[in-house]
Amino acid sequence: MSTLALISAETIVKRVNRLPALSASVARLAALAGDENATVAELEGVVRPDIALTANLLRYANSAAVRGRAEVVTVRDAVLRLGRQQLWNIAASGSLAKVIPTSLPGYGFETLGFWRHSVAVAVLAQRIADAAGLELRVHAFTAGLMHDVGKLVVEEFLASSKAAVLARMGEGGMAFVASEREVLGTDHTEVGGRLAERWGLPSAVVTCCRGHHEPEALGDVPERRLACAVHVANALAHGMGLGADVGELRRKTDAGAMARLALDTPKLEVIACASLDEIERLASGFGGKA
Amino acid sequence: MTPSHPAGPLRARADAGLRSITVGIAALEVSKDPGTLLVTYALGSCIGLILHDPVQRAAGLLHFMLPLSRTAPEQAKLRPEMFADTGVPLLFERMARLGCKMSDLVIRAAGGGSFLDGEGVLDIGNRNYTILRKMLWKSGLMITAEDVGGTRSRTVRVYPATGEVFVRSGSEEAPL
Repeated sequence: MSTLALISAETIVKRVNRLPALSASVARLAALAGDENATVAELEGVVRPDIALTANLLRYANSAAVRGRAEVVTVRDAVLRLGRQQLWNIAASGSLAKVIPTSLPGYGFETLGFWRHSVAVAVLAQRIADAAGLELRVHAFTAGLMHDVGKLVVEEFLASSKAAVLARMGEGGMAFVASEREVLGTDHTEVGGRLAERWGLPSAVVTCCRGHHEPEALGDVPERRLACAVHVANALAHGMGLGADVGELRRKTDAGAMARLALDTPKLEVIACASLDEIERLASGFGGKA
Repeated sequence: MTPSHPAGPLRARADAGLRSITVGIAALEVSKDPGTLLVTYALGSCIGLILHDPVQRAAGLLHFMLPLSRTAPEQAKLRPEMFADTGVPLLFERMARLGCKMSDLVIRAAGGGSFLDGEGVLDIGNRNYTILRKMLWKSGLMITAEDVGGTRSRTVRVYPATGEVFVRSGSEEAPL
């Protein structure tokens, strides 16, 4: 393992800036999503100029899963039917789906595999955050959805260093994210945090990108429990076979995170089986990736 | 659903001409058509239970996710394949309907992986395996071959005509 291809901070910034931005409506909705006083008119005002979001929203509002008696034809009706939370989830999903490249060979991910994993963690994080009654739960879905975006940047460096990363995992039983850090000098959580920041995502989401492997290391910040929810959701998704990549099951599940959310394995099993249908539905029928 | 981890370049045998039947998460498939193969992708803590009948040249593959249906009785009614205690009997039943005799069945299992922590913080894989063993033991059945536990994710391929089973993890593939 003599050829260490450490990535410099400047190189990362350059690559982060090269990725396409999320649609402008996402950052604006991020602010409104957490605002209980946001009006329907304000939400409508953000959605309407974004044609792709409008189309996704109407499609979802009329899908079998949520369809009511009457067809939804206007943005206003869709916002009313789905609510602030779902609108935010849909906007984030649609915009992420558009920036995922066609393949991520470095991580052994197919595009659809990355998408499926992102959606799985989003749905599971939402359910975990709801069950634990987290204050920041409005951002749980998006935090789960975006947790691995750093991989979109680290990907191209990993492709050439994959053997070194895998060797470390094999030799010392090292966790995947630690091997990544040792070989590349950075990892997808650090890079993901920068990317999420550049995309104008809420600080709760940025923090979860950074802290989803070691939520306890975040210290006593308001976002810590949300990061714990994403951490556990991520582990559960990998266990369920929704997101096997080169890292496989080589990850540590933090007992502190489970305790902080008052979770145990049986409770997670309930969440897992309640989520599978929704994950499969969102992964296959939404965002134009399937 | 389209598989997210299609077969890689590594193949233990040529699949040319065979029709691949994908077994999703919380699903099962059986086949006695020699022109088919059964595949399930990315078994993490889930377990793939494989039955083969060399007499009927039939095979079945169940991909279950959780040990016990009492976790979610309503879900279990809709998708019994999700749980070991409802899925395993269903797999045997489906094989019987293909004309298979219980005594002819060769039983193999793969999956049931765990995370690296070893603290058992999230030990669904272990629970899955324990319940499966218990169920089979109660019925006087034995697992002939298995590749379970550890931190690998597994993809399983089953050939009804020959009874061959291959387990792939990352870039390595081995017969079971």
